[in-house]
Amino acid sequence: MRRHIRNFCIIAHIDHGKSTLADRLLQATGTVSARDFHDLMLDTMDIERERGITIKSTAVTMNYKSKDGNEYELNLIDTPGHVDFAYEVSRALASCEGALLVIDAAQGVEAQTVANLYKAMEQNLTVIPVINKIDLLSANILETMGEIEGELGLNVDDSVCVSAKTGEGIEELLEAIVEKVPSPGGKEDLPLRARIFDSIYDPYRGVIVYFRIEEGSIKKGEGILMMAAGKEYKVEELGHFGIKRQPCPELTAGEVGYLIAGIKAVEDVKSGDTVISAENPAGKPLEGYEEVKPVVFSSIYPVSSEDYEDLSAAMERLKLNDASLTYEKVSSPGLGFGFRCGFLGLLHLEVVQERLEREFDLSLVLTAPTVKYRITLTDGSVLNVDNPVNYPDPVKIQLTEEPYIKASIIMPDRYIGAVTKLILDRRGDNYKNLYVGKKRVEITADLPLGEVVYDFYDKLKSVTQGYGSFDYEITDYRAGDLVKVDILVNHEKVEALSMLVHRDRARPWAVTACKNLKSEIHRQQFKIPIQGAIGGQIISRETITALRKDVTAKCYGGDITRKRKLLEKQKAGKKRMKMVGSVAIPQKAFLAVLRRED
Amino acid sequence: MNGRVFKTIYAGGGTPTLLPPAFWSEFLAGVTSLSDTSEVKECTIEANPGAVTERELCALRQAGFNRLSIGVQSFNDTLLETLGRIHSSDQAIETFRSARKARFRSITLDLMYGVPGQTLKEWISDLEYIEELTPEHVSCYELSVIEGTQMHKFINTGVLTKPDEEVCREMYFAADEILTRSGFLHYEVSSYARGNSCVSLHNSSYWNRTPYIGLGPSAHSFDGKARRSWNLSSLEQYLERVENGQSPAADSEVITMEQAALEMIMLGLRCSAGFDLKKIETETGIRINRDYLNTMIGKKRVQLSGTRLVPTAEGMLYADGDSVNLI
Repeated sequence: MRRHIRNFCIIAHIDHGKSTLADRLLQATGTVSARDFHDLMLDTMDIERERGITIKSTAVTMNYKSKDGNEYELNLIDTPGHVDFAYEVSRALASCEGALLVIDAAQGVEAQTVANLYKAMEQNLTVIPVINKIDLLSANILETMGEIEGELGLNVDDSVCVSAKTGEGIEELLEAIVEKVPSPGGKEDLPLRARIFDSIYDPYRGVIVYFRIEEGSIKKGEGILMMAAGKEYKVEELGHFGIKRQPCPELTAGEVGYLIAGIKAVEDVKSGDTVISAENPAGKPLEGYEEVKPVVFSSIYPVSSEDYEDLSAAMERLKLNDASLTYEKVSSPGLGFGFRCGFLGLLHLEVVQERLEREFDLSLVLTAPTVKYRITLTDGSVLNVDNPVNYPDPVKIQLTEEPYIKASIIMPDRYIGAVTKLILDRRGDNYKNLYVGKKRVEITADLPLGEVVYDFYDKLKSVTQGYGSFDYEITDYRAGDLVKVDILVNHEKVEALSMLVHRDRARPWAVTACKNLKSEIHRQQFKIPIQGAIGGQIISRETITALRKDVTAKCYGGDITRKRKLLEKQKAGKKRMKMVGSVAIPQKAFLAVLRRED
Repeated sequence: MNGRVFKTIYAGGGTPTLLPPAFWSEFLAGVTSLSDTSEVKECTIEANPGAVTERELCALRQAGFNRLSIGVQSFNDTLLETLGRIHSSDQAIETFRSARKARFRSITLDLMYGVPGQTLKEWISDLEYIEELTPEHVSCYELSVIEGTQMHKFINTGVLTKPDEEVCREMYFAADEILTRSGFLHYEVSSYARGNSCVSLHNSSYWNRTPYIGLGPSAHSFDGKARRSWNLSSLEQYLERVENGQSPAADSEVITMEQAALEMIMLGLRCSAGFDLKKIETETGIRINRDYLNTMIGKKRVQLSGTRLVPTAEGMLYADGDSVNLI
């Protein structure tokens, strides 16, 4: 008998309540018992819980008995909301037929609501608008409905009002999923074709592959072939995603599941690759995923050069679970061996850094993030520079171009002034604003990507008290007057701190960078000058004075233990510092350089 | 305590003279009945200026104390006020004279430098006054400003300004110079003794890692080898335990060889006696960083005589940072 299956995902602007809604669905379907329940069930990573964001999409299978009397297998894929992880969203959507578009009844439609809707429409998904947080006093259901029709062009009759917090409307939502989301289809009698959408590494079981079967079926014990890698494996275990893995003997077309096949070679499993049967191989692969284009680049080095091998293994495993991460080996005279990495945005960079440090217990130094510049030399050749180290001699440069984005910012109109100032400070151009609701404005502007990657989103959140939403797409390259600013610590150039900066910004940037570094580098027993320079010209300077004494006055009885513990802490702290010449630079200092004062 | 042999006794950390001399008499008698005090050479009690009379001092002397530590802090009344002290410099001098009359064999004065508002000149005049009083021992402490205190708040908000590091260094060297010139031995970073016989035996025992027992809330004890323990900090809980015949220890730790080495070096670098390089290496199995040692010798912070490493007055100022780098 064919199972009744519904594959759907939840998409929303950040903070509109996706993960809470997922929690409620898990409870309502009895997927998780009251005893095992805790908030944000699907955000399993520490970073997700701490920051209250979803980074990875997660899949879970729920069983639901509908009012029509049938048992349904509901496969829910929870997705990230932050603009950096839009790529992760696209991949999740490709495994679904339906999408719940969650809109906060108090906030209304936001930039990511629109962006996510377009992505869902590109995949031909059935979209169910879900008006969430209707329990809030500030909820404005009618206005939100108006926006759903007016701004999103969706049918309000399809919408469901819920409160993920109180559980109100959850039954109705489950019924709407069963009724409106199409069954997956896909022929079971064709040879197997399944698309890998994610995978994780388990030290005991090897790579665990997450996939959706488009055609055919897959059984325990069968031989499978990863098409792109050309590697054959035997399925040891397969099953559904519960809150824990739930093994089963067979999965068929339309179903989402995992498989374990003793895969130790991480590089054999690629997201987007097609799994086929080894005995009865299908001829053609499924369409893969669009190649991700990283927009922010930074090099990662281990603090201690002995950890390079560990970092290398960690990168491989992380890549398995984060297909959007790109990297290649680099070496630097000051920092040793490391990796030049491409990220989707700065939050992505921070998440990768944190995951490497927590999940793999590594201590790392990251160089100043930069975008990819296009440089035309006087001899006519064109260079793509994503690492300030490779910036050519300025006299040989004919033209430098930098990537631009089209930014869309939606916020209550009272913040127009503050946001406009922020955009102009970041060299924004072609600025337009448009009322999209009664008191809500969408500002669009062209901005250099380099001005946005670092802390634009945080700044926007802060000037709009959290009400501003942001989305962007990369549009083109435009000429820019850029210079390379180097930072010298104790007269030694610290490659990791070099940045390409707009000429007008170079001095203020260097001044702030030196100031920030001064506050991060501990005083040492000698004087340390910190300088910002363009070529040979010094444009900013700070001095860390020498430590002229380093002892505490009293040391009796209990002071000995206290002091020893303090010294041990200092010693441990030193292990997390990178020696540049004779100066120990704390890891934090490498990113502190980028903090701006605006 | 039972059956132990004690060589020094120290009543301090707080204001022990708040308790009447009769208490201390009983206390010392109690210690003597439980343990062997026949070898006690030094028996110190702390007193704040103006808080004890000559009669009480005589009584304390009678009870068995032979050394008095007076918390003078400064001979400058304005600075005493900044420090939140309720006594005056006249009272400090008065207490010193009373102690002399009470025939304390040894008197030590605590002085403080690096106090907000204090000039180098004022500090030097305090030191010169010491030359006049001729105590057996002086401790010169730089004021450490502890986070969370009123002083910390005042300094952070700019109400008070602490003399900067360079001035504090000058004050340290002024003490070294003036006191050494008038016959004191600078035998520990903060301690000065009028000749070898006036060196504090009790304090030195902390620095040579002699075993000790601490009585009272928060007091620490050390077995002389690897175990350090400390008492409960709450007076109520402390009393409850003691009254029920239980140990008042809150917790203890057994330190590793590396930790022991760190302690020996950190303490050794504070003291003019220094430490024996080979002995530490043999006892703990830890190898001391020779490159860093050579840098220290180059900077004249230590001198090597045989296998013994002896810090200079300059070297003592870096005892904390250098001990970390030597391991």
